[in-house]
Order: sequence, then structure tokens, then C-alpha cells
Amino acid sequence: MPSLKVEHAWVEFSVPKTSSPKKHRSLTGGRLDKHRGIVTALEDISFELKSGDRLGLMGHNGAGKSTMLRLLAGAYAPTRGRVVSSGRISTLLNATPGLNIDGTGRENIVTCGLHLGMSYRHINSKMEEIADFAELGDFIDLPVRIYSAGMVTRLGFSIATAVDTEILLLDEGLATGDAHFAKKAQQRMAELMKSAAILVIASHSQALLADTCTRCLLMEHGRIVGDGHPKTVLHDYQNSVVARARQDDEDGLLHSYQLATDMVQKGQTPSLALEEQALRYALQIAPDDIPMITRYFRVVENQSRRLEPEIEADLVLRVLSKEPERKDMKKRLSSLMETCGAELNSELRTKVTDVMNAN
Amino acid sequence: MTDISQTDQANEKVVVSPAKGNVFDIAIADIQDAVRLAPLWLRTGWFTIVQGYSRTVLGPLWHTLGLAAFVVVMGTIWGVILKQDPSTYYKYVTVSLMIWMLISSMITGGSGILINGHATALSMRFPYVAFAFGHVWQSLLLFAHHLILYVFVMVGTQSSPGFGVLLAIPALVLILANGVWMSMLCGMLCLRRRDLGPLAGSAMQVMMFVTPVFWPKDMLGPELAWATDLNPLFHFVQIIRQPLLGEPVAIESWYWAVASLIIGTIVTMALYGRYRRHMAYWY
Repeated sequence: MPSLKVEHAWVEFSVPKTSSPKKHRSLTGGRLDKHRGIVTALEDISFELKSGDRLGLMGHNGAGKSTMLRLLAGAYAPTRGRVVSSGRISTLLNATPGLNIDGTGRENIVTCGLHLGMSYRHINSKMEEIADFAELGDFIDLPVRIYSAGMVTRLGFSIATAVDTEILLLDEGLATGDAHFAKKAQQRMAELMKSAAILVIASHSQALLADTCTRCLLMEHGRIVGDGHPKTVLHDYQNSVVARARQDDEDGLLHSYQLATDMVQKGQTPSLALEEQALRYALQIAPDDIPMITRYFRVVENQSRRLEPEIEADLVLRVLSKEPERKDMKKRLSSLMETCGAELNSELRTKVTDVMNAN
Repeated sequence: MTDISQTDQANEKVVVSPAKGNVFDIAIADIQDAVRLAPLWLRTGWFTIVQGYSRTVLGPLWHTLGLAAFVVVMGTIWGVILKQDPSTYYKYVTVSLMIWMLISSMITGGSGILINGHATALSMRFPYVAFAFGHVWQSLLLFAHHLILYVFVMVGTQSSPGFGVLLAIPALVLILANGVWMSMLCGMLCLRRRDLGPLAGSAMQVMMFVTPVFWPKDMLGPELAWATDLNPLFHFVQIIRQPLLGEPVAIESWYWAVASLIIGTIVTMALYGRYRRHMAYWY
């Protein structure tokens, strides 16, 4: 019976010691203690998975998701505590083990298959299936060197999921294929889940985790900060993403955007707080998009808050520079000047008065 | 179908990480796993050599050709300097260099085996010693290329080593067995301390001149001859070189080679077992 048990496991890396007693605290990554020369990538992790469990790992970049997968795969031995596994493990992490870019697709199927513990006979019996699934066509007989990144990913995914596995560990990866392949990959995963007894998947995609997992772990700085049903953990994750985005953290903003678009694609409505942060990210990319700016005003006001006068004035000016005849924006501008015109800096104030006088 | 069900059974066992037991239990368990992975490293080693041929005309034979050029130049110049009989000296240099390249490639090449295996080692629980097996196998394949040169030189000088040449086979096996611990040890050390890779390369270059490879041992004279007797690399070279040249091997050389194998393997296994759980953290 496949099982996976983690008992008070730690993963600690040693880094060059420095004499300075300063303790750096970063938003991402494990906890770095330069004085002792140790990075704690995973701290006191304990959980148990039984046959039928599908575990999702969530967290920001550097929260310890990939390290956790490597720990479960047996690549890292815990520095404290232990991991006990029973059952054949197959992994699809960042790199496909044994991939040789000078070999042809077919040769690599054999080499990588051997790495994953398949026998020659088993690989040969599955060769056509793997090649078909990867959709490489005639490229399968050409060197991997000339493949596109997507083709390499497809090949790796096809091989890793062809193994009759009991414990499957997956890292992000799936997202890199095109939409068509992503759909196929999801179907293949669903099939695998029927046969694979245990699945652990690390992803930023809420939709994927909500669909596939029976349990989720939320990780932060190498610790488990949330554990439970995907819905509740995802809710916590959303809140932490929004909280980070509010502090102008680049990653937080990006993840807000990804989460929100993810939800919209699935036909769900993101919370106003999330949408606000997502729009902030989007406005960094497209600062002059008028529908987005107006939506941003509405989202903020529906939360009964006000924007900072300078930001608001700047955004209104951007709209007016493109569409000078918008009455609502002009009204907004004049009310802004009345209520808190004094808080604007002089440069912005001259611009605003210029625009108002122009009419 | 039987082999599939067998591997299934093998994988059904409970794996505890970090592994339990004393250092030798851990090392032996990994050696068993690596032997089970034989199809894998036999294939990758073979492929590395075969791929050397793609998009080139001669591929790995360039090494042999380089060796041949070296033999011709060195054989001529050093033959004169050292006042050696040309035909004997050509044979001597060819065989010496072939063997030296095998031994030195196992050591210097071994420095990169773990570093280059990072994709594999960081994706799964992998017996690191399989990298050493693969590397030794690859060195053997390269050595087989150089045998062509040996045949050429023996035919060219119209000499035959006689049946004594068969003794080179157990000698080769002994060298390869030594190569496993040498490349494993070198790989581990160089993974931990990256300075040691270039150092191993330079050290082997110096050793090539210290060890009687270009020059016969008796030229050293009685005062210094004892120094070469204490050099295990000399005995490694000796146990293959002498049979290939049709000359007798001193029994001490066999003792030295066997003793190196036993001591080296025990030390390497002890270090391997001790640091097995830390190695992934060294990447």
C-alpha cells in the first residue's frame, strides 16, 4: 500500500558564514541566518499521505514548494527528522533527469525512461504511446537540441507520466505548454490520478489545485502555515497574496493578477481586494488603458476607500490626455482639487490647473 | 512480464530518508541499487562515446590519433635523449600512454561526475555510485579505441607479447575496480570543494612525469628507485604494461594493486556512507 510520511523534517543548507551580526529578513526564500551560516529551507515539516490523497502545495516563489518535492522524492535527505515512503515514485520537476540534448527524441525516451525506473521492455512497449502523446511528429527522430522549449516540456511530461507510478510528484511545469497541450495534460493527469495512489503537485494555479486536490498545504518561509481543504487554504493564500501586493511586492502583485485572471477564466468572480491588486499590476504594464483605470476607480470606491490624491490625479490626467471630453473625469478632477488640492505636489497641481483651464 | 513484476516488488519496499544503518550498510545498499541500474549507466556511457562520432569524421578516434602523434614525436625525441632502442621504446611509450590515459581519465574525469549529474541527483533518490560505474565504463570504451594503436605498433615492430598477454585481462579488471573508488572519491571531493577539480588535473599531469611512463624505471638508478615503488600508480601501470609488452610482472605490483583496491574501497565506502545524506546539499 503506497504511503508517504514526513516526520518533523528539516532541510537546512549551509552558506558561507559572515561576521556581521545583521539578520536579513527577506520576503521570499527560507530563513537566512548568516551568523550561523544556515538557510532553513524547510522547517519542522510533518504530514502523512495515504493512498488516494492528492496534495497541493501553495506558496510564493521561494516558499519551499520545490524543496518539499525534492524532499519527498528522496533527493534531499532531511537534515533532521525523516521521510518514510513506500511505493514507486515518479517525478516531473524542473529538469527531466537524463535528458541528453544531442540524442533524438526516441533515444531520450529510452534514457529518461530508464532513469525513472522503467525496464527496456516496458519502455519499448510504450514507445509509440509516449511519442504520440508528445505530438512531436517527425521531430521524434531528430536531436532534442533543435526542439523548442515547449516540445522539450511535452516530451518530458509524456515520459514522466508514462511510468506506472504509485506516487507522482509534479512541479508547475504543466503551465508551459500551449493551451491545447495543457488540456491534454490535465486529462492525462486525471487518468493518472485514478491509477497513481498519491499525487503531490506544486502550483500557483488556484484553479488547478482546487480541481485536483483533496488537501492543500500553504507554505511560507519554509513552514506550513495552512493545511486543510483546498477551498479554505486557497482563501488564506489569496489573503496573503493581497497582503503582499499591498506592500508593493512585485511577486505579490503578479500573483494577484494571475489568481484573478485564473478565476475569471473559470467563471468565478475575484474579490474586490484581489481585483484591486490585480488591476494595479495590470496598470503597471498598460498605464494608459482607460477601461482599466475606470474599473480601478470603481473597485476602490466599492470598498468605500479613497485613493491617494496624487495617484488619483495622475490616473485622471492620463484618461483626459487621451479623451479630453470625458465629463465624469473632469468632475472627478474638480472635486479632487476642492477637497484635497493642497495635498498635491506643485508639479501635479500645475498640470491639473492647466487641464482645467483648457476647458 | 516477469521482469516488470520483479522491479515492482523491488520498489514496493519501504524507503527511509535519511537511510538507516552504519556507513557500510548505506554504501552497500547504494551499490546494489547502482548494479540494478546497470542498463541505465551502460547505455549513457555508450551513448556519450557514440555521440562523440556524430557530426565528426573520426569522433573519439581523434584521441587515438592524438595519442599516435604523441607516440611518434615523443618516441623519436625521447628515444634519442634517453638513448633507447627505437623499436622497444615505441612499444613502451604506446602502451604506457594508453594505460596512463585510462587511469588519469578515471581520476580527472571523475572530478565532474557528480557535478554533471545534478539534474538526476536533484530529481530523485539516485545511487550516486552509479555515476562512477558509468564513468569507468566510458573510460573503458575509450581505452578500447586506443587498443587499435597497440595492434598497429605491435604489427609495425613485428613483435608478439605471447600468451602472457592474457594476464592483461585480470589486470585491466583490477584497474577498473580501482577506478570505481578513485572516480567516486574524486567526484565526492570535487563536488564539496570545487577547487579540487582543476587541482586533480594538474596533479595528474605532474604524476605523469613522476611515474615511469615515458622513461623506464631502471634509468632512475638505485638511489631513487624506491620512490617509484611507493607510487601505486606505477604498479597500476606495471600490471597491464608488462603483459602487453610480453614481459613478466613483479608479484609486488599485484600486491600493491590489490591492496589499493581494498584500502581505497573501504575508505571510499566509509566516506560515502558517512556523507551520503549530505551530498545533495553540496550542489
